[in-house]
Amino acid sequence: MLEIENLRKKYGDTEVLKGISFTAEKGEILGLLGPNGTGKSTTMNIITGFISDFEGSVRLNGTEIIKQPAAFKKNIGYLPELNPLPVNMTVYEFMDFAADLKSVCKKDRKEHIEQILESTGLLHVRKRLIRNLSKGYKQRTGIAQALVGNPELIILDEPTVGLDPKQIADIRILVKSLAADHTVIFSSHILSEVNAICDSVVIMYKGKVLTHAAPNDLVKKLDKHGGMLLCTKDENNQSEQILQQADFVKKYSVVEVSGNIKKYYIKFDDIDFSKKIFFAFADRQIPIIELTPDKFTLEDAFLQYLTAAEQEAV
Amino acid sequence: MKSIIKYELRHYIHSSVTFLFGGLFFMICAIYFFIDNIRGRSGDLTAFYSSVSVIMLFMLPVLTARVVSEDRKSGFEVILITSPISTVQMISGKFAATFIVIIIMLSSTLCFPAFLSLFADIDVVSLANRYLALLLLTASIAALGIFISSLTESQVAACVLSLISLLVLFAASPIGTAVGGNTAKIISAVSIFSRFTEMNQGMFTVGTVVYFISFTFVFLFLTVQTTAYRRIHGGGRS
Repeated sequence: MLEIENLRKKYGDTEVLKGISFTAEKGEILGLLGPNGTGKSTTMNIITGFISDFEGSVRLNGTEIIKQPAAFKKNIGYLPELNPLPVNMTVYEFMDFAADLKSVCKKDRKEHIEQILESTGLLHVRKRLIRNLSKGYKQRTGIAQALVGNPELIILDEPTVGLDPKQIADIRILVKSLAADHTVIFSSHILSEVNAICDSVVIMYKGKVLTHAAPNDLVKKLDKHGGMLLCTKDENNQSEQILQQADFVKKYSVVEVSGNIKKYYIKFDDIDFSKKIFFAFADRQIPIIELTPDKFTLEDAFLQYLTAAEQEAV
Repeated sequence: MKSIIKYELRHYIHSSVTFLFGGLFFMICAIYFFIDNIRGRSGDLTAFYSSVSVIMLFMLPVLTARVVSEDRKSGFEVILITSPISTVQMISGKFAATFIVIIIMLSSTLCFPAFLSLFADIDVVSLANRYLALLLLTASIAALGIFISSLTESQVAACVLSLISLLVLFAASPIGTAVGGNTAKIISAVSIFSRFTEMNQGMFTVGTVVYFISFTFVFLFLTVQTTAYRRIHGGGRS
């Protein structure tokens, strides 16, 4: 279990972390979200031990990074944003070097490395020089390096940046699979990705934690008045009349009109809304082409939190 | 530390610069040996080893320029710093690997006194003293070069700065002699090349050995401190 308590960091007179606290349980994928310059990288740099001067405490299963840095770091795997790799080494040589750094027992080393290479899909390229690998395989190599020594905590700083859609999908599956045995901290600017992968998200803004919750809970918390998108084929312009007369419709607005195809955004306060609207239009013989919930996304939640924080700051 | 030594040695082995400069070093040494000893029909190796020290002055900055700066530039330093090894182990490992390469380079020059021993008597104690002097001098130069490499991300800048610093140290001795008086004594006492010249001429003092070792440790300590400073400031990222 990772425990971050009252973390503070100053660069000169500028306080970039203003007492942030959060925890991550074993088996959890925690997403760090926030605009650029908000303290995400500083937080990760502190957790990985790259930055050694800070206030507050960082504990992993009770081990304090300041008191036992070597023991703490042995339990951490880190993929930095730029994924620096020694291009003159083969994949296996690099893994062996990472195992050397983490003092992995020589007796079990070969088996351990091959297990990681297999789980990351690198076994068939293990003898290739890193410089000759594709971007996707280089990213996998960076993640594989982070898995050496079977660390409890894995920190991935924007692991899908610059990858094509297929590679992104592969890396997502790989990250998901890591959660079985590790705690994963994941930073990304792609909110749909965070939503798809993470069990919980920490939204940061100007060195503070705005909220820490599961993505679904965040959405539910803010999505109190869900809406629907209704698309009809209305030749006699009766749709608006129906919507005005329907007592289960709280509010509606026209989204798009294209000939006799009309699209409306509707807010309602009735659980049986879908059924009622279907019969209301069926009675007038107006076909409904599409009726979909306009879902409140993590992106909407993220923006709402940021807007509220910005307004509070003003 | 062993892992860092292996990593650095791999770098040297895979770098064409190492072999190019190693070959060039041996070739220039051979030329000086021919001029000083073969053509001059002399069994005295003082001038030859003096030349070796000057060749090292020009060659070592090229070898040490990349030691820290390359990892800083590529970002690989982050992987090393966030691994369980300490900064002291990291810098010591880098220095040890560089020193191993230097030892290999200097070992190659053993063939010259060996060749000379076929025609003249070689004083083994004096020869050992000269090699000790060369090892101490090159260790000091390497430590200074690694320290300068830790100050910048540019290998070229590190190489040029190291060369300038070494030329200043090299020129300090003749300048001090020209000035004369106490200045000459002070400069002679602090100049690594004056100390080397003393040992090369057969004057072995414990003070000189301690001086070289202290010089090496001070610059390795400063390299560790520079790296620690960057860790405190986190490379300026937020």
